[in-house]
Amino acid sequence: MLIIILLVFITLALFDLPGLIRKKYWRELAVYSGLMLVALVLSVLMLLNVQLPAVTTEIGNFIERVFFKKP
Amino acid sequence: MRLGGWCCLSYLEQGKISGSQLVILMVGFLLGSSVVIFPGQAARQDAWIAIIIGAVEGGIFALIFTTLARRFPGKTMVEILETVFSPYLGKLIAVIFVWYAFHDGSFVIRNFTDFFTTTVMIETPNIVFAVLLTIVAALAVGNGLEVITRCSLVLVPLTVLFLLVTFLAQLSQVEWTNFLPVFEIPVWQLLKISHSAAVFPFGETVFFLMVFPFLNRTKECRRKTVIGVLLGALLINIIAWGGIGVLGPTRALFTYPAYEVVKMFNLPFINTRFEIIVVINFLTMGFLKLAVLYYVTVLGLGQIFHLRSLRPLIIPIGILMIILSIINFSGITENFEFNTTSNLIYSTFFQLVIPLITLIVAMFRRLPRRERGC
Repeated sequence: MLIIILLVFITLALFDLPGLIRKKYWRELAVYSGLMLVALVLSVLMLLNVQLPAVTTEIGNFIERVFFKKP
Repeated sequence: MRLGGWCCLSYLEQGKISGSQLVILMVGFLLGSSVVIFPGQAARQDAWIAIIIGAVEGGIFALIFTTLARRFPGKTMVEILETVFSPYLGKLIAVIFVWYAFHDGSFVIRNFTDFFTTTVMIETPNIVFAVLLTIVAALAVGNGLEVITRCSLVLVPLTVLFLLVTFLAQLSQVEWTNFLPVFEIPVWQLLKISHSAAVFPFGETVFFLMVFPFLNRTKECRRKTVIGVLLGALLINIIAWGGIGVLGPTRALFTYPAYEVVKMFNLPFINTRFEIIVVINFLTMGFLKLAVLYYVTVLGLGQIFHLRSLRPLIIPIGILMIILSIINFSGITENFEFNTTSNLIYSTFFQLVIPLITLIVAMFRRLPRRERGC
């Protein structure tokens, strides 16, 4: 399964990377690589069943703690 | 304030849309998730009142952010934020704004996969729907705003037609006593539920702040937005009337009232699963809403980083949206709980507070500066 995820990401990178390198869009390359790396890391973590923080629940808890003060 | 030829807005997006196209796009956006889950359901039989009040409140939000858009014609929200606040503070607020669009997109994907896996295709794994929807939305975004708008020109009238046909077909099954008693819930609670209806979906039109610069005549944005909100409110109300009238108190049992209503059709000449019409509605409008949110995220991020091309951003943001839609909630009930409590404050911050503060600071600083000769 890990191999499949890596293959998928490499295939997707093959779509965009050659064009970026050819046009010498270094800033775009940096942003693209950063985002893809984050996506890759998160996908692998999800595959390994690591408990990722439930974003919306955390935001909800934060808002409840700040705004809904229980007397 | 253009930094240079290659990173001004017209380099990133050459499309232009007209005012009526904006209205149709906005109606499609508002119908987005509401074709299956109409807002204001907590008000039970008064949901239609909550929707009307929510639409009025959404209209007030729209007046505020369209004033901001008219003050800075030709600039997207990211550019406005960088102009009004200092470049660094403006970028920070822009990142938060784009995060909200990204988060909302993940909600749309989540609602989409939940709907399909609980109603139509129960055994297909969730991720299949998420990936398919995101691929189609990515193709639309890659082709630019004009293509998304042209899609809406075809899809929205079709959905409106379906909505009217289903409404007329269910009129025979509507029990008008289901709407009584009117105003049963206390006013304070009704206002709270109306606020949740204002925030989802009407306040989400704030994302069109990134779309207004592409209007042929930017001055029209206020009128067209209000028309869009009113039309959206009317259509959502039609769905709500059907849900309340036909289902009555049993509405609370169903997660997707519109779907169940159409399931109960008893037409003499149609013997098959007519409810597929609701599925098609959600398919098209969900795609449209995701495409707009996806586009806003990509364009916003491109402008924050002053990129020369939006194309490399599309795939990573799509993947991250899918990932976020999966890890969003720790349980099934968290979705409902978030929408009824924390979302009221979370969304109001982005839909009202940020545009209002930006407008006040812009007025205070007397921006945009009138240049000599303009």
